[in-house]
Amino acid sequence: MLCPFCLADVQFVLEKGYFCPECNEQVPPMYVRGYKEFPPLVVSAVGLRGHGKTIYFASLFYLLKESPLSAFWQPDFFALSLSDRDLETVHSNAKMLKDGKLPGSTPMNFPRPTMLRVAGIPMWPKQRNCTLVFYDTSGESFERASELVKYARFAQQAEMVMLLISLSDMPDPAHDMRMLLNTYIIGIEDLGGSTRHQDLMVVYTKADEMDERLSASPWNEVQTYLNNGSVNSLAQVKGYQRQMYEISNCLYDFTRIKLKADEFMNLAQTNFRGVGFSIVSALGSAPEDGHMAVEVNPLRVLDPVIWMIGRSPSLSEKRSGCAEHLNWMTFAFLGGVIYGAVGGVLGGLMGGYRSSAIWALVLGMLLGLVGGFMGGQIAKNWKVLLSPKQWASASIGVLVGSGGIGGAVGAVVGFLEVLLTRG
Amino acid sequence: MVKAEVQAWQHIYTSVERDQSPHERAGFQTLFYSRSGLTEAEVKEMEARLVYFPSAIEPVKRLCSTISTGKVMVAQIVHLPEPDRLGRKGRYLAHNLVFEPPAFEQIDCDPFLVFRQFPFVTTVAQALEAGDSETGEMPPVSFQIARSPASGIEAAQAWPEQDLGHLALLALRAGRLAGDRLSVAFIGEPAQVECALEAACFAVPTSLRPRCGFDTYFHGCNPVSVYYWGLGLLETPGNRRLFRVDAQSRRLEGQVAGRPETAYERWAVGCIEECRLETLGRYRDHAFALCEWLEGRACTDSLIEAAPTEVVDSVFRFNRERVQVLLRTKLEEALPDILARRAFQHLGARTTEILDQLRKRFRLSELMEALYRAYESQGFRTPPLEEIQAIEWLLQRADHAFLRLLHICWTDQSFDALHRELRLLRDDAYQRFVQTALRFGFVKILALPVPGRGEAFLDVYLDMDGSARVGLAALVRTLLGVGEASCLERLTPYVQAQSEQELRALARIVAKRPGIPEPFRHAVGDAVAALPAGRTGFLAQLVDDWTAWFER
Repeated sequence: MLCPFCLADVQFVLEKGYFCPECNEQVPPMYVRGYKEFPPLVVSAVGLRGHGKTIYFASLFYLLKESPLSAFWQPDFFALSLSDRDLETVHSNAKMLKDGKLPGSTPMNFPRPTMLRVAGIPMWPKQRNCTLVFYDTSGESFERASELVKYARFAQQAEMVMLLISLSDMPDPAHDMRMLLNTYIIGIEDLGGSTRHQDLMVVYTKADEMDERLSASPWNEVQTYLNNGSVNSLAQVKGYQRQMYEISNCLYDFTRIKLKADEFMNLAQTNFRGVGFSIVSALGSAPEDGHMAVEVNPLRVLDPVIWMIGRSPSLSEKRSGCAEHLNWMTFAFLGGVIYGAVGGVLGGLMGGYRSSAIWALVLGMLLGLVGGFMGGQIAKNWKVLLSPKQWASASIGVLVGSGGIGGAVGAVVGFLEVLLTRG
Repeated sequence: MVKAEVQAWQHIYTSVERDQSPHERAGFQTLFYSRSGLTEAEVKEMEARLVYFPSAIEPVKRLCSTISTGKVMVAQIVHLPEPDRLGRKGRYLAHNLVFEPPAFEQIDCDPFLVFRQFPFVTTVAQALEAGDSETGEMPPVSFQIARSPASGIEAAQAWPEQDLGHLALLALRAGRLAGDRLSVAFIGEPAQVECALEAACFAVPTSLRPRCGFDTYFHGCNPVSVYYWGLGLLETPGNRRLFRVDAQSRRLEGQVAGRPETAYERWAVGCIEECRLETLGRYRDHAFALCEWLEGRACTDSLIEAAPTEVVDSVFRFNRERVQVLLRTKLEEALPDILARRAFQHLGARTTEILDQLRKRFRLSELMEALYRAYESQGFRTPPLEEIQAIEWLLQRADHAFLRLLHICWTDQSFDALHRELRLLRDDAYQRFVQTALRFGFVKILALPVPGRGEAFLDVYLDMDGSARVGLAALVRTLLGVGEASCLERLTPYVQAQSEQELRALARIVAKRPGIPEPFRHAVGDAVAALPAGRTGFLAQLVDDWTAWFER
């Protein structure tokens, strides 16, 4: 079991409470007893100083405790603190935001986690429930890999890392984002881990300050999505996933085209299992002198968490890795079959009476290949979170599947065409 | 009150904006440090400890800790009310003094003296003035600290004895607790926590004090990332493994440290229970050195040598069993077991003597004297054969006249052997031995007179209780036998009181020996003449002659 305090893999000792044999910390009984039913999911927020990590978490707690989510997501949803301390943290943060106050800056430290059991998020009915384990440290901890190793080693345990980016606080987003990601990758490698087992969720924070950047088409689609993203939007479960995918794709393009952060994207796609995008406004509007002039109105704050739960392999009940690949490969096969059949017909027609089968086979294979890659591209467009490994699997599937099936289909079609013509 | 001049490296850690930073970086960072004494790695290590989370009270935080290179950091952290560029509160400023271990020892490893007497930087403006904004350098600082041997006694006196004893044990076991990664939670406001920490550390000797790292305001911090022996907390922690001290009501809660286990713990707790805090504060280092030595650990010899008798007495009193075990062990190195057991109880009675014996090698002469005293205390009863053999072994290695004499007596050797040894004694020693022998009766009286010591023998013999004396005729015959006729004159007053049989025997002895002093001869003659007529004739003479022969 993962000790949430020292992050060691341990067997907790029962002695008037559960204790970690490594760090001697007393772990909430609910965490231990519910470990299988509610496995821990590390929520790791990575971002530079002042980019809104602490406020994002505060807003998330506010949303989970103060909003009517339980009414929207009946009957299963609940968010439960695991200890007095967690309860205090969640409630004090929620109350702070409710009172229009903002949390202070976070010092550089290896943080104590805040644990929240979350169940019944309806966007992913097939995913298991989980215990979200939040770690919040200072942005200074992510300025150097050595600091990350010291203060943010929890990031190594995360299945999905949230890269919180406030574009309004970045003079040169392309450069700064690349530097941050590079530092993070070095830090995780220095810890002995690998980012290739992690998904990367790029979360644009302080979205209320991005009006100018998002005003032009096609990014105004993001603006609209954000503005419609108050807590009430979560009541509409149907289609929520699809919207998130669309916005993720849109932000993918935004990052490449508008921010010109190609190197960042290349780094991300090469080094992570999958990459997704999200946009949030933790407060709904910019604070003035450290206080909220209007009531806090979190926008799309839950999206990164919904992504995280949906993408978590450890929470996946039914799909194995192989089965998951099969989904992507199906697209490729379908492309191969359809284009192969077309190739077969064309081959038969082009070959006439002589060597029609050979023409059908060759053209069927070629067009099947094209179809397979196009199928993969469709998959990519539908679900941006496709890792390089999945791409490779899909491509092999295309070569074998579309070549064989397209060839066979082409040959049959060619043969029939010859018979019919002779007849 | 003594003043000590100490030097410390400085380190300032705070949150500033880019334009105030020597590194042109905004946020929490090391602003300045003494590059001449601190490495970057040390600074990074210390940064991890300089964490402050504000609460409703936003107090001054104080901490003390030893870093991995052995240097000791003594820091004060204050909350900064001004928000940062982003309008966020939560800024703080840490001013950290870093001592080399010898410099810290100069102030008795007492961080509380530093907290009370050193003017720490409390604002960013002061910090910017103190350091070089171009280079990030901050010079080391030298300052005077007034220290008194009983520093901290007031904090300790405020605690009930029993709780202070337990608190002291927790502090003394800081090393062990650190090994088990267990801490002591001091619950209360930071000022109360600081007083409780000072009370806890009062009994801790200088050399152990750096182990008692603490943070008076650990609020919000993570014990997994930084370990302290003492954690100041505003509220009772959830972790039941933590020892809990209520700093406000000065009581220990929940589990306590148990009984004293080491020699020093026994002494310290003993002093606390006897309300001798002054002694504890003044002599803890001496007592600690002595206790460490008692338990076979490395210690400072000079402190043991300088330990006052009062401290040695109390240390030995609270550690009687340990002292005895050590004595026995040391004895067994020098003597066969059976003799070691015998001599053990009769080693020097004064603690300073015992200490001297324990610290140096036992001298065999001292051990033999102790052994002799042991036999004396038991009336010189003949010991088992094995023990007598052990004495023989011992006598081959060193000499002890009385033991040698005792050995002769217990092994029933001839009078000649005994006389040989007795003749070797000086007069006073001879008389002492005779006195002892006459008192305890472990040897026949008539075996004691030796040539040249008739007067000395009689000095003792005539002083003894009359009922224990032997017959005068036998005594006279023995004295004459060892050539001590001249001293018979001293027996003259006793002739008159002898029985007829004794007188006739005396008459026979006197009649046949030359050199007998005339007064004694006359006294015998007069006494015999005064007797009623006895046997006469040849047969009577024959019987007397036979009797005399047998008596001889």
